[in-house]
Amino acid sequence: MTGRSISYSFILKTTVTAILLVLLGWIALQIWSPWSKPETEAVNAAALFSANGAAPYKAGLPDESRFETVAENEAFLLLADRATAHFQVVDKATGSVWRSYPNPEHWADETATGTWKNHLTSPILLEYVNAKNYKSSSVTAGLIENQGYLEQFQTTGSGFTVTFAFPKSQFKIPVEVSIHPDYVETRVVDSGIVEGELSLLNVKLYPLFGAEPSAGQEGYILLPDGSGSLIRFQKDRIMQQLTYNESVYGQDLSYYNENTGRQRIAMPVYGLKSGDQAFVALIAEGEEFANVYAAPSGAVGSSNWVTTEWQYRKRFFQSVSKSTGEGFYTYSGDKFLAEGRATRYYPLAPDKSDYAGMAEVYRNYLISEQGVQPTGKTKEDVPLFLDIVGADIEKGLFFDSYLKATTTEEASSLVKDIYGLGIRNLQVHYSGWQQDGYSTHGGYFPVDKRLGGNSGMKRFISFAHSLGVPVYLTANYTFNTNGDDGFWWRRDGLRNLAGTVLEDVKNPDQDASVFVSPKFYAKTVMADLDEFKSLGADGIYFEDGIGQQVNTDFNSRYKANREDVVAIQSSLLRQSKEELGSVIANNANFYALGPIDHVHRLTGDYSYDVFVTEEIPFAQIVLHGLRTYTLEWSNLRDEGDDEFLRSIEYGAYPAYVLSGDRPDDLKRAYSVWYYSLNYKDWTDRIAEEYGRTNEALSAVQDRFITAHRTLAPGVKETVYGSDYRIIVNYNEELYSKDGVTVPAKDFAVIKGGTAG
Amino acid sequence: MGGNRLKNRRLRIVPLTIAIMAAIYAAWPSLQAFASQLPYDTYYKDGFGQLVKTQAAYIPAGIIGYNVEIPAEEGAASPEKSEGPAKVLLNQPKDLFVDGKDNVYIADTGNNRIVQLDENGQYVREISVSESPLNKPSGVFVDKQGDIYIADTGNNRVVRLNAEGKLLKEFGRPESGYLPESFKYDPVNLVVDKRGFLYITTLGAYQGLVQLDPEGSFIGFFGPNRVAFTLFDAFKRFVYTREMYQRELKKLPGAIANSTIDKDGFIYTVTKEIASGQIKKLNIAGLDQLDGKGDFAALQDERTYGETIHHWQRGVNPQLSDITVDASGNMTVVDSIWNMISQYDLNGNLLFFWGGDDITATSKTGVVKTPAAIAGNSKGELLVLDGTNNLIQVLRPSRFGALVHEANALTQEGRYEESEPLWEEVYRLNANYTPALIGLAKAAYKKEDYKRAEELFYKAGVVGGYSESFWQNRLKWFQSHFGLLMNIVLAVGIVYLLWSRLSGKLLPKKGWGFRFRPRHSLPGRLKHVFYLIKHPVDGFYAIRYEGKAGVVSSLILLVLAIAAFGYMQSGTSFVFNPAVHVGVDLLPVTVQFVGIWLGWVVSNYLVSSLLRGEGRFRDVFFSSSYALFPIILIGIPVTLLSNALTLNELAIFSFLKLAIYIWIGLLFIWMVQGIHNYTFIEALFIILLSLLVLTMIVILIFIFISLSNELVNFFNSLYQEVIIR
Repeated sequence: MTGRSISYSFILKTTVTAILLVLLGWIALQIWSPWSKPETEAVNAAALFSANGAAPYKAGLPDESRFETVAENEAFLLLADRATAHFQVVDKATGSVWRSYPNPEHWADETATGTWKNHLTSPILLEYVNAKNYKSSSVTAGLIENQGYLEQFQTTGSGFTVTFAFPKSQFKIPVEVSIHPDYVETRVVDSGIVEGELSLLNVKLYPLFGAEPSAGQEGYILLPDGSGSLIRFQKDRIMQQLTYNESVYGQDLSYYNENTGRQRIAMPVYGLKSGDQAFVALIAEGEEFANVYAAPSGAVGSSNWVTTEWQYRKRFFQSVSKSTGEGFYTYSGDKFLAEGRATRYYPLAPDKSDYAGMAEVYRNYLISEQGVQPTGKTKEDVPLFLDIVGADIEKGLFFDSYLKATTTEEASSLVKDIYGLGIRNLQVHYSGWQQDGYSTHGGYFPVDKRLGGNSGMKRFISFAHSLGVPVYLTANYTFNTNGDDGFWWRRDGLRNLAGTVLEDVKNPDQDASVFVSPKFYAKTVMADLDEFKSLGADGIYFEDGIGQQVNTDFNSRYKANREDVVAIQSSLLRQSKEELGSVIANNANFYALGPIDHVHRLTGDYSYDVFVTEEIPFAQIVLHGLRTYTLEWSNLRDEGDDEFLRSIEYGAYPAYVLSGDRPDDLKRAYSVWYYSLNYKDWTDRIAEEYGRTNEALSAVQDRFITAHRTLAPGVKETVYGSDYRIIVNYNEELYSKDGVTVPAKDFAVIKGGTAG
Repeated sequence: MGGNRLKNRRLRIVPLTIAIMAAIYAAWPSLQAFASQLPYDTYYKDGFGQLVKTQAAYIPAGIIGYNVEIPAEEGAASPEKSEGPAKVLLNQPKDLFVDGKDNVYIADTGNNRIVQLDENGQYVREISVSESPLNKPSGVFVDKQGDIYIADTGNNRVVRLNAEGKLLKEFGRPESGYLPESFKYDPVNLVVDKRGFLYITTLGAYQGLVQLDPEGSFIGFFGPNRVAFTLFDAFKRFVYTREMYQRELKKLPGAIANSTIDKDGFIYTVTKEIASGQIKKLNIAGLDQLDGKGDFAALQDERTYGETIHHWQRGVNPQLSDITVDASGNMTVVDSIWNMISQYDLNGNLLFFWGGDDITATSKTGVVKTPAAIAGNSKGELLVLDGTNNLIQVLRPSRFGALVHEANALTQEGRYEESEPLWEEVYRLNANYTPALIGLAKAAYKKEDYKRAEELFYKAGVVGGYSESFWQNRLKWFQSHFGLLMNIVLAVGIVYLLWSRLSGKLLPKKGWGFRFRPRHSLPGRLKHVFYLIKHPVDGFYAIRYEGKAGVVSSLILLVLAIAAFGYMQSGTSFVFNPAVHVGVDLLPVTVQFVGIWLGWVVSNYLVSSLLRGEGRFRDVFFSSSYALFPIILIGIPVTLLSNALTLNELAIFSFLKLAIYIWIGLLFIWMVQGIHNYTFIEALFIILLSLLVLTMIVILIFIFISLSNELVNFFNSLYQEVIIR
């Protein structure tokens, strides 16, 4: 007995000592760090910044007499000033001029003073920080304040290249400007960037391109906010100081994100219109590392301007205490290097100088350069999209309890009943079919037994096929909650800059779901494709994840930057489509548009920023005739009537989320708590809404939207092709003008100029 | 060993917890699941605190009061003519009033004026009372004739102007012996009733509203809040000396922050810095009309107003800063802490609440930064004054909101049948919205469809309504089964009579059958419990000295008692135990029960072994298990019975439950007496000591846990700092 107890305490002592020693040694190692990469010999940056006689950049606008032609093509003339590297684009057809600097006509009235006035004339603005000092804050710099100068101004045939040198902060940024048949392109050449001691955060190249102050003319900034929104030119706007700055394709959760409550930018597009002179800008390359920055008049200077803000580093909040939430801000170490960073400015003809014209340019770009083929021939009736909820889970006593909403058998009778309403063009998305229901991710197959299992699903799908109804299975591979699919969160989880595995708390009752590394989920999806096929599914509906989430992955096993993630998702979607014949996604970023056949639950709303004056269906104008789309589920609408009218205005097809007629009480379900799912409560409404939508949209399913405008407050007109107009009246009173009468809270279809 | 485990624990815990933090920090902005989204979410919370998301009740309808153009002829008078038309810019406005014609009056405090806008938000005029200039006016009220009352805070007065803005009367600090010397007269807001009496909110006045008659003489304080006097206060008063007690932070009732008046003359007040009863609806006598009125009154002893969405918000109570009442009596309040707007019906039942996260990066249409005041107009719109952004956000009722208002108004007027189709529609749109269930239940009750009413009231979790419907159903059942019941009673009576006759003759007279006595068999030990309840002291004595109880028998009884306790918690009728509506989580309840019981066993053993008690540990353990027997004996039948009772028979149920507790209490006293061989008084003393020890054990455990948590946190921070910086 005594012998044993002595050995215990001995073991204890040795272990503690050993651990302490190891810890000490480890800490010493951390401090000494013999294996860390030898510091790359800092290039003697200072030596690179001898002006060599180049004149320092002068304040003020460039002298317009010094501009000389550097390139010309059929449409445009590119003029540039060697002293400032500012340029002008002249549209040969109309003679209108786009400047890369503020309009000299109004420069005398500029309200900005001092540094910012200088910034407004600088061809490039950058933001940097001293990353070695935690307390330093970022600095915005233009050429003038930095005693900057130009280097190596060269013409290239289609334009010019130049390098901007910032001697004070020791940066060199090479850029390129070129004209093409229908656009002018500005480009930052990442490979040539020189950095000294300081860290580059972001670059705005020719920020004031096409900028105009509000001088009483009609004009607006187009933002890719939600489905699209306009900031109309106005003097004395509300809360002038506010600007718009959002990351293209959404926030990167691996970094710090300021909560702006705004919708994700799904389209790398923005535009500006002043009078009948307008351009639309597409961020054609490197958009994963770009923000859209807009400063309406009064925010920064009196001009309205909007530009691409190229990101090189992002802020990160490093927390050090879990109890107090204390921490400090830091920045990513190496800068993001993109293969290319190009913004294209498409000048618009005067008769196309509105947001419909801008959408047309973007649509053409998608068709010709992104390979997004138009819908082509469609069925006679418009489609109706039904999301059937299989099951979900809620917090139980020891384990989560399973809540059944629709078994595969009930799904068959649901589809039969809806089909029985005379709706022939149906598409079904079955969600929550996986093991343990909708809120469980990982190990999707086989279909949960409590719903009917694989065989039940097969029966349901073949029944649906007998009616000609395609069935998609809903899945979200970007989360894992149960460790199935061989997923181990430590090894396969998405990690942020600090190496922490990211988690999402969707419902406070539920344990956090782990984000999966993109390269890991790509493997999982590929492995599951055969299973989908064997069930007879027509495709996968990728919900809320693939096509939406673009997060840098710092997991050393699966390292991927935003560009890589976009590439992974695109190829994954393409391969799935090849295997299964079709894939769809909801409210997807537009890089996913090629492979997907339908955009589900596309946003139809904006972010309610006070500076936004109007919400427009920009995304819908781009998409109609390219892809089918729906807005939010009809039975989740805040205001049934108005939002139905909006779906008519926006050319969207109806969509419902439904359950069988005997669902469990889903009130406390983690995800599918939706107000009212029982399909028996909705059949009348579905029949009515479908009928009315069909009446309005069936004839124009494959047509593009060519115009969209406000006829009167609360009265909107959408034009398809040349002779098909839909006028929607949101008002409580009848609208009547020019021989067109639209009853209150209703719409009218006008074909070939007469009311039909 | 220990070191090893600690290390493992730390390594495992650290990344996980950071991950959670990171998720909270990083993932929040991404949680927007919906494609179409207002800048705020709308919720309903039932009496059990269950949060239900609903369709938006109000929709942003624009911004007024910002950069309002002053028409030319007015502008000509103003000096800054050069910059186009002059514009109204508010500066820290504090109050908002909408008159019967939807004119909007804004107390533009920072600019020492009142601004009047018309129903479309166009400029009408500004009032600054040139003959006696306003100084930081922070409240405005307009009566039926158009007379304007202004709480002119900077001048410590209230002024009454006629409709043209000419000064009619000043109300300075009233002269009255009833007004304490120390009372500070800083009027910040006021309402005026039909008689012309003024009810003035003064800054920090815990005495209530200052009530003045039209001539300005002091009538009294109106609607004061009461001080919450807790048991702990009573204890302090008992223990402390007079000086000490007075030196304690002065206990004052909450000061009324704002008030409003409705068309029927009810005066509504909101109070900050109190945890319940933040809204009061006072009649002319100053009595609160909301007390005990709500549908969930049975669940809540103390009614709280001002809702919160996230559970972590419960740490800081909402501070209601203003209230408005619409034509049908619905009250809407704004909370300046969490930036939430909550709407209640005329009886204080919650209808909706909504609010958005505070976003510093931008400002949104429909969301205020600092809600200073709220008012409603005749179109049912809500106007919320933003004291930081100096503007008014207008919210219009949505279709869903309007439908609920209409249905609820009918229900409150007692027109249940008319309300039914409307509630049906609400229910179709949102099956989880409890007011629709309540509305339908009331309609069903009115139509004497008690079965459906019972079902709906149960689903909604309304105890009173359920109990009444159940009573009706029970009555019906008794009526229809009366004959059968009487026959059964008769039959049982006859059988009993016959049996007692016959048994007397047939069975030989002997105690309890044959006495087989394999001294301490398990059945014998179990049976001992019946002896024990008849002769408690002897019974416990026998456990100590005759070995009448064993480990197995005690454990069986203990487990049975725990099971019975669990059954009582989960099986008691909804009427007496509303918690079953949301489902009782038996685990914590059981753990608590077992924990206290174990603590008792240990502490009693410790105390009595020090004080010459004769019981061994196992005796305490055995007898404490045996003493729980009443839970099984009475608890189960009472729980079964509860399902046949209604609130009318609450007394019976309470009495039976009380009986269990008293019996168990007595058994424990006798137990201590019996096994330790104490007198009755000694036993009481020992029990008291044991409880004291038990409390100490609990406190020690608590301290230990929180300290070790701190330690883990400390090491975690240290690790983070060393690694990262």
